[in-house]
Amino acid sequence: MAIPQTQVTLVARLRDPHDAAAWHRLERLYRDLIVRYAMREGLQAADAEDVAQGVFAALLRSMSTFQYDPARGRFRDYLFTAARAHIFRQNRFRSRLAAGQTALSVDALPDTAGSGAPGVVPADEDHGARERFEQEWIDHHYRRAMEELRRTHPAESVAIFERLLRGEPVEQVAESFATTPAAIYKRRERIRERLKEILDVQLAEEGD
Amino acid sequence: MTLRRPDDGADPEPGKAPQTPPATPPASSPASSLEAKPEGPSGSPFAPGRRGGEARHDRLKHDRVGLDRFGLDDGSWQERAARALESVELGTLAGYRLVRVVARGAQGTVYEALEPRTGRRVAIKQLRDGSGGELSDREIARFERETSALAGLGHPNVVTLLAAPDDHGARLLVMEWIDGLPIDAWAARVFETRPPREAIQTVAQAIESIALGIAAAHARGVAHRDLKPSNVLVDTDGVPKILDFGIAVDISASSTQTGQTTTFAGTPSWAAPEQVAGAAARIDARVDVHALGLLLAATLSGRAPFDASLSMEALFAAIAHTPIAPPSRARKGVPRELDLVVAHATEKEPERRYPTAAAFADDLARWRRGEPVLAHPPELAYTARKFVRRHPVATTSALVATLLLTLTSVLAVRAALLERDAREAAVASEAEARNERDRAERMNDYFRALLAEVREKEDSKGATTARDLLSIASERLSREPLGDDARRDLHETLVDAYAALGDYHDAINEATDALALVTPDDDRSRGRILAALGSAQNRVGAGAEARTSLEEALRSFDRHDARRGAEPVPASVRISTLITLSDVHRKAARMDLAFATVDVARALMPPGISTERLDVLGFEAMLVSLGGDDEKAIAKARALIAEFEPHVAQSPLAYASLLHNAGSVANNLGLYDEALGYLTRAIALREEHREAAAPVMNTRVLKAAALSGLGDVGAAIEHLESCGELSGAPQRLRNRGIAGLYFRRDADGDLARARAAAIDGAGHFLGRDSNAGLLAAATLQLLGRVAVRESQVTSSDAGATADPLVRDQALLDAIGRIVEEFAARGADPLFRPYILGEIATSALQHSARSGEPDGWRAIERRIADGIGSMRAAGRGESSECLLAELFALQLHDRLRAASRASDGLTPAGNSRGDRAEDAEPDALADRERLLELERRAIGLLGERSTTVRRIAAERRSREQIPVATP
Repeated sequence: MAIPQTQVTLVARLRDPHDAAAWHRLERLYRDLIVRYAMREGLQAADAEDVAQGVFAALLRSMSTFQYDPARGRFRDYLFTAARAHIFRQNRFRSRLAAGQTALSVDALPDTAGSGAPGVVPADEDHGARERFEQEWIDHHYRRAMEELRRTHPAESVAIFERLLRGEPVEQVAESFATTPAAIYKRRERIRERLKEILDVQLAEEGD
Repeated sequence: MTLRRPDDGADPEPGKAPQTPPATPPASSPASSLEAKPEGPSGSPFAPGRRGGEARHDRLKHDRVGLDRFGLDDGSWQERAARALESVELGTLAGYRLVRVVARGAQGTVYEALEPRTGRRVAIKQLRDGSGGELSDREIARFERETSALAGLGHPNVVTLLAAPDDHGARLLVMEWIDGLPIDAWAARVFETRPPREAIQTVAQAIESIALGIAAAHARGVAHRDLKPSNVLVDTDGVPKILDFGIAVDISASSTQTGQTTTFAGTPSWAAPEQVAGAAARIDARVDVHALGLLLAATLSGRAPFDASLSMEALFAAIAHTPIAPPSRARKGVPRELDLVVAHATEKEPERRYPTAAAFADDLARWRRGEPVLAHPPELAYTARKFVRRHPVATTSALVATLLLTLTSVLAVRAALLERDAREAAVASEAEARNERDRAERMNDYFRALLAEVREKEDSKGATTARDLLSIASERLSREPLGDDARRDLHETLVDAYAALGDYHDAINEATDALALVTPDDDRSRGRILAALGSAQNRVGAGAEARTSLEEALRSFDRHDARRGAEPVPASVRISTLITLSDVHRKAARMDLAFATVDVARALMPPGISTERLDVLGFEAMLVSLGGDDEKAIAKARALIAEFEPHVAQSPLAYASLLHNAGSVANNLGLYDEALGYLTRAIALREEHREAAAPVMNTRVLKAAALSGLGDVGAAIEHLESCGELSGAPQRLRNRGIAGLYFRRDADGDLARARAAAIDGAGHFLGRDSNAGLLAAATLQLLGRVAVRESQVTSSDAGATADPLVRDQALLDAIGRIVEEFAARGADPLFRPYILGEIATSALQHSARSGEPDGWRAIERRIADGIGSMRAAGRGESSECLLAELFALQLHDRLRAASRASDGLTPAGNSRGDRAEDAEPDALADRERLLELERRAIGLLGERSTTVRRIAAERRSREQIPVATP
């Protein structure tokens, strides 16, 4: 099993500000999610990177006071709120740039957006945005799970699966691997079970 | 600075607070081609999104719901896994930035994308990609035809097609992005969160909206062909939106020809029998009617009508032969009428379904209003058939009944049965036949009432359907082997039916046919038919003919009554004939004759309180008001109201009509408080006694006018907006009312709404018999003022209010936009010169500037061209054409004044200099033309017509004679 922590969640470890390993791992795992989500909300790649940078910088800054309390919201809610706030700031920054106020930098803007603790989701939150984030979050876990699958699952099965994913008919795939459609279905079913296990672990680690 | 909506910039509709949380990707038909066969209950690739959405919604429940959203137990997990293979940067298509792959399949790919400049979120469907096959020429042709038809559709229940660009040979559809739930998931939520009755209403109404969207597309020649829950999203405001219009690939082709075991997930289980039978030639718009029935069944019962997990063979057999289970079986409280609507819509043979999506929508509307649905008649047909069997000599009415039952596609009664009855009728004795006829009359009355209901559907599609029906009935009548009596009765029924539809010319034709079949001694029938004929003639403005018919009708009644032993003609028949005759006189400006005729009617009134008395005296009060004496009219109305108030129960609708007229008169006099009282009561009575929707709306519009007169425009708008969903004439009446109110409400933001509502309202009055009259004119004049206001807004936005050229251009642009919008909404092209003229002259009147000639000259030319085509089409002598000519003259006059003014500014010696000298003879010629126009109009329309009055007013104003008010 490539993921060691099943008991103590990754997020819970963030309470210890000196656990730099936990911190880096968190950033490595979730940075991609923030970048993709920010791009889906219309940001250019570079700006999306800035947003991710901002989210994790804010997280790091507030780590000493960061109280993770599952009853107050899940980690992905926290990420969503922080990402929204930073996307907002980034957009504002861009529009000020466009308006000629070049002297301002992102960091010079007053931080009223609440990049800190969870629970600051605005009352009239945009369900569309939240849903988009949820979709990205699911996709994100699938991506990680697929990577894990490639590392830990028989290569031929993964190859078969990826060809199915690209839209090849089952019969055709069966033929090129000199096997039967039924056998292909069987392998696909095995992969589904395996993905389920992996995703289960990932979510547990996240504390969901 | 507060953070409220961090993404306001990117949200296409800022300020809209979504209530239904989970967004499901919008377009789904190119679903995964990975499945050996459809999986899961609906086979939708988005099923997990819904389920997860609901789970997530329950925030308090903090158990491990996360994994549920990953779709591992249904068809969508592979879709998700496939997405994991996508790279971060998807790039762009036709300038749109792709942000996500929604679905990828053999037929193409659906993306979520952003318009870079505005940040607007859109859905892009790419119809051809590397893995998909090439589109055939035929498919491309269809695609292009349908996208262009849909691009202008603009129906609130059809997802808006924003563009159909080409990107390096790839066909793209760019559509508005909908955050919403598929309709089946939405319906499930509705049933979870609302009381059962309300939930059923809500769901049925949503399906009705969808049917209207489908009907609108059908009207443009586009069928959907792949209607299913995943293609209908209900947005956060509860508005259903139909996706993937007309671009669905034929199911039988994709599943049987390619030899693949793959197909569109979920689609076959929503197909119609003729689709799975592969009988391509039989597939038409009625597959959508079938699908609408399935949607209604699925949303009401909470389950898909056909089990998608069946083998293809078993599924196809079920679709071909198994009737849809009545929704009431799955859910308690679903009324029987809705079961019937489902059954009728999902008949296996297309010919037996509702003929159109509009008819389906109408039936749901009927149910919603508490009226009997047309789909009812298993019983009716049963009754009719039993009737025919039991009374083989009941010639006419039973035949009418069965014929109409057939035609209204309530239920097909076998032609053999008809023929047999007709044969038997032919050999039966006269006496027996007469005996049976009385019973039959009741049946006949029923169908007349049924057809009178059709009146409500004055909008084009409803009317077209009913007209088609009647023309079939009429045509069939000439082939049917019937006796003269039967034939005459049938013609008479058609007179009523056409009149109910407002098709007075056809009513006149039918009445003429009926008249020819009356036996010499049957004065009673002759009088009745003549009265109906006169009424129709009055409606089309044929005053002289109407007068002849009505007077002859009265003479026929006299002859009948003079006959010994004859049962006299009821007073109510004579009275209504006299009232119509009085109206004819009024229109001919013979108020003396009009009042004299009413006096005759008054003498016939039965003693005491009666509906007849109310009719006569109420009409008299209206005559007084139309004669210009509102003070006297209100006095009469007050007296009548006092007299009849204690006897409301006897004739509530006639009394409501009196209150309506009294309210109208009170409004004219500025007695808004009094009007409000009458109108509120009139509305209550009309609604309580199920008056047709159009009269109710008429009264509502008057009430809104009273509210607005009292200074509360907001309340007036609210009053009109609060009357629920409407269609057809009532909706347009309402829109016209609302348009004026929006315009009055002094906010620029309401101009667009005023414009849209006014165009919709005006559309109702154009292209119909008998009048472009005051209502259309008032609406179009309002549009002229809207154009002026819009041009002021535009040019002040441009910061160029001072520049007359800019202002003028803005005004011309605004007028152009309005006229284009009319064209886009299918206004009869022949009316365009009239529309354009009315708007342009009204705009000029209110803009207080004489105009920059060039732009206006173009308008003048367009009107002149239009007059040419109206004449070519034989409409040169219509009100609209006469008015268009008047506008052309008025414009011409203005332009002359304008060029004279500008000539004054140009240096002497300019070639335009001599125009000023020409002006005088020109103006004289105009006066001649006006006189000529006026003479023509009087000859055609009578002195009192509004057209004549307008032309005369214009002439007098040029002669600088003060206009005397009649």
